[in-house]
Amino acid sequence: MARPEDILSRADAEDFLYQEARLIDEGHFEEWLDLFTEDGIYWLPINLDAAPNEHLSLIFDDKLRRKERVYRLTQTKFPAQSPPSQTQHIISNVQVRDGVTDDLATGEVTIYSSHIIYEIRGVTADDRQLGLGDQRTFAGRAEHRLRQEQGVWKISLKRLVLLNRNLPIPNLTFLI
Amino acid sequence: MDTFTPIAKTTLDTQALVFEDESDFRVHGSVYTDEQIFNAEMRDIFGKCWIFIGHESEVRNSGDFKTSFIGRRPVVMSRDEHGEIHVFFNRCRHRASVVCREERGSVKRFQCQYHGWVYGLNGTLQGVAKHKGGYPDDLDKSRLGLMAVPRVEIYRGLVFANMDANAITFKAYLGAAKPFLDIHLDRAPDGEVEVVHGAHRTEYRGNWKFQAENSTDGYHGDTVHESFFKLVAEFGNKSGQHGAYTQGDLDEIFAHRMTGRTLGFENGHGIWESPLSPDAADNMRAGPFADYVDWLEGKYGTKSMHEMLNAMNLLIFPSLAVLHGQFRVIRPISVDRTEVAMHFFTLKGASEAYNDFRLTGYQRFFGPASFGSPDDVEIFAFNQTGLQAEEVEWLLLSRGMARETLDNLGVRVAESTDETPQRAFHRAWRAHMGA
Repeated sequence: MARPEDILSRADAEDFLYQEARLIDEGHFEEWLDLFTEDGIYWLPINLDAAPNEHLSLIFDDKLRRKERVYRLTQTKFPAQSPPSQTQHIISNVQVRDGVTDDLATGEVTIYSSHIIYEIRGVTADDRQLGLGDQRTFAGRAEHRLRQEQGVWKISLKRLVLLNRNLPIPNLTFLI
Repeated sequence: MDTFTPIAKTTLDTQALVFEDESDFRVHGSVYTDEQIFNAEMRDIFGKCWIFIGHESEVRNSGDFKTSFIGRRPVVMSRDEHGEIHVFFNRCRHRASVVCREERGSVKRFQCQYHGWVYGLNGTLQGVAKHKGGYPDDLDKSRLGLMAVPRVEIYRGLVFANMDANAITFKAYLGAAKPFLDIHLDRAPDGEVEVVHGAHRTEYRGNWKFQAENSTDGYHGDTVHESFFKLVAEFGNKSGQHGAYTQGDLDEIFAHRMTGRTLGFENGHGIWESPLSPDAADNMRAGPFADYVDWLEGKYGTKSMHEMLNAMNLLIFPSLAVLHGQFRVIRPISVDRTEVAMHFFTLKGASEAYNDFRLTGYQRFFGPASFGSPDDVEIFAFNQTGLQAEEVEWLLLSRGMARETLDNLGVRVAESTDETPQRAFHRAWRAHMGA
């Protein structure tokens, strides 16, 4: 039986995650959308023991909701992103695992990784004003489930578990 | 032995800070920036009004507890062995340490982690560590229980507490606003809601009253939430409907938002109401939730059904808003720092699919990463920053005064973008402060 490493090496997994982070950090949000499968889910849970319909999530986006999120970021102006956020993702502790037995049967592999995300409200912000001067840090661990479509790896699930998911979070309207 | 002792009265002259005549209504900037006023609010507003502590469903079983705050005061809501709900200060009677460090959970007793005093689920002192020799053998433990908040009332599952032993009942306090709270609860086929999905929590660098005012503000939507309405015009409501009218194109949405009304009540409560679109009930009937609409119409009649499907935001003075399927709790931290917790509630007796649909719609607009509420809290930091120009003394809240009417229940009624609820809020604020 094939091991997941035979399908996706750690180096390839790292490249995939770095590329995703680059698209977000450099503002290529439309291209980020293309990383997901049709049925792909982007999920930031709050309660790790609950299904998405049993507890509020910070984000639980299917394809349409993701598209709306990117439309809002790229085509509309709104207070929580005026001025817009800038992010820097740092990713490490990358592992490729067949955590679910039939991963390979369904052609999926799972990547686990650790993330530190820095966020500030843009270089044009008047940082002397309340709410604009802080550099915020988000730490968390991510699970990416990937599946090949036409020979290209796509995300069927991105589940990012933030350490501060239970704390008050003022603004998560940027892509994280 | 000490008993419940209210905080000393303020010596500030707060009455001049809310100005009203026939055509003008203004609130002084210091109401949002002055620390002394904030401290006085902890006594005169949060120390005298009915404050939402939580919902019964959050402490379903004996031993369940949930911590909360009355202004800055830490409290615990617990359910004892007999099923009774208690609200007491989260403060050991010995040296003031909190006895509960978790936001919720289930315990057999509360034990202070400092010196080990033990309290029962109803707050009674059960044990003093190393009692013998250190204290008299006949120490009167009955007088050293966790101090109860003087008044607790449960209204259809909502637990409210009041620091003022002489306060009027919660129902009397709600007054003419009671039917509007009932509408939110009557939407549940079993007549009650449940808080079982946790909360979205956010915070902002601004005074707590900005969120209270904004929860019934019909004037800001077209600007602060323009992005959301554009998004709806582009994508429709397939991705979730949270309640406000969002059918049609952008012009129709904005035109519709001018319909509806605002209400201001005697004790500071307020309403912003936006009617259901003419065909929304039909659309719902054509969709997967026809059973729910049929039930609503069967139970309440066609006219009431339409009213019950309206978007309707209720602010219960001073710090609870009930809107779009959530209990929104505003927690003042300091004069320029506030936490907002949005507790989504499910309609008991409605199908899981319908509650899931409500959750999906709620999450599109509410929560730190949503497309709506983050824009509100962002604005409050704008306000707080602008307030530092203290020479511009007043904030203007006169919109719609000329078209405001008084109904026979003493409720002020005006149009959907008018500042009627905000004026009601500040009249109550003035009446409480220094009283």
